[in-house]
Amino acid sequence: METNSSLLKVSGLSRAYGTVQAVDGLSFEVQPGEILGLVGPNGAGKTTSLRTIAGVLPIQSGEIQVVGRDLVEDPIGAKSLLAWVPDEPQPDENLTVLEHLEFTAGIYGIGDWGETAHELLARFDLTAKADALGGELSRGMRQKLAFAQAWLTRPRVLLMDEPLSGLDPLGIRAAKAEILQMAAEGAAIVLSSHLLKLIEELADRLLILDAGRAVFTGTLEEARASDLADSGGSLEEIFLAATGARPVED
Amino acid sequence: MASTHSLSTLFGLARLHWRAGFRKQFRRMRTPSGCIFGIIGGGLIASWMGALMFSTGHGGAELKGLMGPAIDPLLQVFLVQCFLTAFAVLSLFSAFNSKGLYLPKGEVHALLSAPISSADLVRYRLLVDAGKTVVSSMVFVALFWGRLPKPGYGVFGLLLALFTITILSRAASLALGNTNLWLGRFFQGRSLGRAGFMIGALAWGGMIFFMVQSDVVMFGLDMDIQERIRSFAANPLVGLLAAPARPFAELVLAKTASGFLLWLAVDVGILALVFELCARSAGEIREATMATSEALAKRLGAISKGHSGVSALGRLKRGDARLRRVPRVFGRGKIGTIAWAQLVGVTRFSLGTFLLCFAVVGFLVMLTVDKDLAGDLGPPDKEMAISTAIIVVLGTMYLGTSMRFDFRTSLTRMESLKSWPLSASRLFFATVLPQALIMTLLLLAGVLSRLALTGVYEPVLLKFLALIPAFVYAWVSLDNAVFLFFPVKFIPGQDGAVHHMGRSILLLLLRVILLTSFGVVLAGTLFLLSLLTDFMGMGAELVENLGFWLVLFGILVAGALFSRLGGLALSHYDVSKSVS
Repeated sequence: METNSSLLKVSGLSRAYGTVQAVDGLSFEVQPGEILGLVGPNGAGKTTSLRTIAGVLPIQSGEIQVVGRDLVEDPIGAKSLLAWVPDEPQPDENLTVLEHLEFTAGIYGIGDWGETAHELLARFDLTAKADALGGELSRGMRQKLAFAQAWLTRPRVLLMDEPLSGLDPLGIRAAKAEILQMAAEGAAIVLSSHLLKLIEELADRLLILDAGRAVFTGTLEEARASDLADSGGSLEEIFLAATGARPVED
Repeated sequence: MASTHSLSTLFGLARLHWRAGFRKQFRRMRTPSGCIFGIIGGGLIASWMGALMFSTGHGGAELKGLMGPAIDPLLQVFLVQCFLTAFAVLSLFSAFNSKGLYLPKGEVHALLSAPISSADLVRYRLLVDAGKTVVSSMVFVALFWGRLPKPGYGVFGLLLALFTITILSRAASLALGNTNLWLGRFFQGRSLGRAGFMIGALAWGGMIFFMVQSDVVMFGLDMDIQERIRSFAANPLVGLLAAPARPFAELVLAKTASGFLLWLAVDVGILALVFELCARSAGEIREATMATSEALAKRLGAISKGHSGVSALGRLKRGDARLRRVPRVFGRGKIGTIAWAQLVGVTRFSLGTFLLCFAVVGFLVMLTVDKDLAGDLGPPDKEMAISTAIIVVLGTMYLGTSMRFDFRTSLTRMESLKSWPLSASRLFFATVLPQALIMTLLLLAGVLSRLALTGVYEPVLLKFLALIPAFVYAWVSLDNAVFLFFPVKFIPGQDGAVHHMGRSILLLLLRVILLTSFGVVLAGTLFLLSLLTDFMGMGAELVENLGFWLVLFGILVAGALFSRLGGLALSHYDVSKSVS
C-alpha cells in the first residue's frame, strides 16, 4: 500500500547509538485513515523510530515526510501536522489540566479552543480533573491528558507509543473508540504497543520490527497467508515467528 | 516481619549496597567526558582535603594554634566535646524530617514486604549508614588531621563519634515514627509546622546569641582566653550536656597507644550498645517509614528536576489560594504561550525562592547604601555607577544560580518540548524569557530602592537601567546554553558529587572564557573608539554616550549569540541519553 497520497512516508530511516544500530533502513508509508501497528520485542527500535518521526530525535540518515513536508527541510510545518503521545507523558507539573489544553492551543496556533477543550475533557473523563495540576495526576490521568492534547490539535498524523498503559478498562475502551474515530476522520495513525491483542483489534496493517529492521510489513491476513503463520494464525504466533522467538510449548 | 537474620547476612546486604554505590561512580568514568569530569572533580576534592590536612594556620578553633601549644589538655577535650555535642544536637533536629526509617525509593516496598524483622531492617540501614558516614566524615578527618596530637588515633575517634551520632539521630527518628509509643502516636501524621518553625527560629537565635557571647567569652581582650573557656566548661549544665561526648573526645585526642586502646574499647562498646538499642527499639514504624520515604523521594525528585532549596519542600495542590489564573502577559503566540507557562510555575511554586532572592537583593542594596561597608566610592556619579554595578552584577550572579525557572527545571519534559512546532531558537528564547524578566524586575527594584533610600539621582542611572535587561538576558541565555550542552540532574548529597564538581568547574571556565572573549572584544572596540574620537577631536561627553550605545549594542549582540548557541544546544539535545 504505497501511493502518493500517503500522509506519512518514512524512507531508509537509520539511527545508531554508538556501535548499536537501533533502527536500520526502516521504510514504510501510512495512508489517510489507516492505523499502522508497530510491534517488536524490547529494544527493537520502536520508540526510537517514533521519536525520530515526531522530530524529538534528529534524523541521522533517511527521510521523513509528513503530509508531503520534509521533516528536515520544514520541521515546523511537519510538526504542526502531527501529534505525539509518548509512552510516559510528562505534563507540566505547574499547569492545570485545562491550562495544558490552553497551552497546546497556543503552541499549535489553535484560535477557538475553549469549547473543543471542554468537550475533549468530557470525552476523556477529565472534566472533574480540569483544575488539577499536572504534578497531581496519576499515570492513567496523565495518559488521558496526553490524548486530549493530541486530539485538540486535530493532527493529520498521530504517533502513539504504548498509548493504553496505565488506563483503566473504561479508559481503554474509550481510548480505542477515539483512536478508531480519529482514523475514520482521515488521520494516519502509527501505534506502537506490546499488547498484541490491541494491535490485532485496531491496526489495519502491521510493521514488525526486530533489531531495528522491519521483518514484516502488511495486513494480518497477509501475515497469515505467509510462511510466518506456520505455527498458527494468531498475531502472537506470527510475532514470535517473525522475531525468531520460540513459542512456549503448552 | 518475624524471622531474624545474622549480622553477617545483614552486613552482606549492606556491602552489596556500598558496592553498587562505588560501581555507579566508576561507571560514570566510562565515557570520555565522564572520565574528564571525574578526574578534575576527584583532583579538586583531593587537593582541597590535602590543603586542609597539611595546612597549619586556619585560625578559629584550631586546637594547637590559636591558644598556643601549651593549651590545657582538659580544655582540648572540652572543645572537642562541644563540637561533637553541637553536631549531635543538629542531627537530632533533622530527625523530625524523617520519622520512622528512611528507605530509598528502590528499597522501600521490597524491604517492607520482605520477611525481615523491624530490628533487622534497622540494623541493615544502620550498616548502610556506616558506609556513608565513613565517606562523609572524610571532610572532618581532613579538617582535624593537622590539629590532632596523633592523627592516626584521632581518626578512629572521629569516625566512631560521627557514626554514633548518626545512630542517635536514627533512634530519634524511630521513636518519632513508632506508633507503639506515645511520642510516635502524637506525631503521627503531624509535622512540626509552626511549632517547628518557632523551635528552629529559637535554636538559630540561641546559636547566634551563643556566638556573640562566645566572642566575648573566648576572644575578649580583658581576660585570658583559656581561663574563659575553663569558666564556661565549669558551668554544670554545659558539663552535663557535653559529658556524653567525653569518651569520644578522649579517643580523638589520644596520645599514647594504651590510651588509644582503652578509649577505643570504651567507644566501640558504646557504639555497639547504641546500635543494638536503636535496632531493638524500632517498634511499629511501617506507616511512618512509608510516609517519610515517599516524602523524601518526592523532594529528591523535585531537586533532580532543578527545583532548589525551599521550592523543593512543598508543592501547591488544587484549590490552594495561590492557584489562580496567571494573565497572558507575553501575548498569545507560540513564544508568548511558552513564556506564560513558565511564568505560571514561578508564581505558583516559587514564593520561597522568590522571597529569598528578594532578601538577597535587599542585602546588596544595604551593602551599597551603608557608608561603613561600601567605603568612599568617589564623586556622586561614580558612586552611583559603582553601587549600581555591584547590585546588578552580584545580584545577577546570585539570582541566576538560585532562580531556576528555565531549562534547568524542564529536563524531564524535553521529549514534549522537542516535539512542539517551533524552531529551537524561538523555543529557547521563550523558555528563558520569564526568568530574565523576573531577575530584571528584582534588580530594578533593588536599584530604585537604593535611589529612594539615598535620595541622590545621577543621570548615569538611566544608562544602567537600560543596560540591566540586556545584561540579565545575556547572562541567563549563556547559563542555559551551557547547561543544555552539558545537562545534568544532580541532587546534592546523593551520588555523582565528584563528577558534578568536575563538570561545574569546567562549565565555569567555559562561561568565563566566553564572557572574557566578549568583554575583550567590547573593550578593544571601546578603546579604538576613544582613539578615533581623540583623533577626530570629539568631546568627552560624546565619547561617553557613544561608548554607552556601543556597550548596549555589544550586550544585545551577546544575548542574541548566546540564544543562537542555546537553540543549537537544544536541537542537539538527545532525549534518549541519560543525564543523571
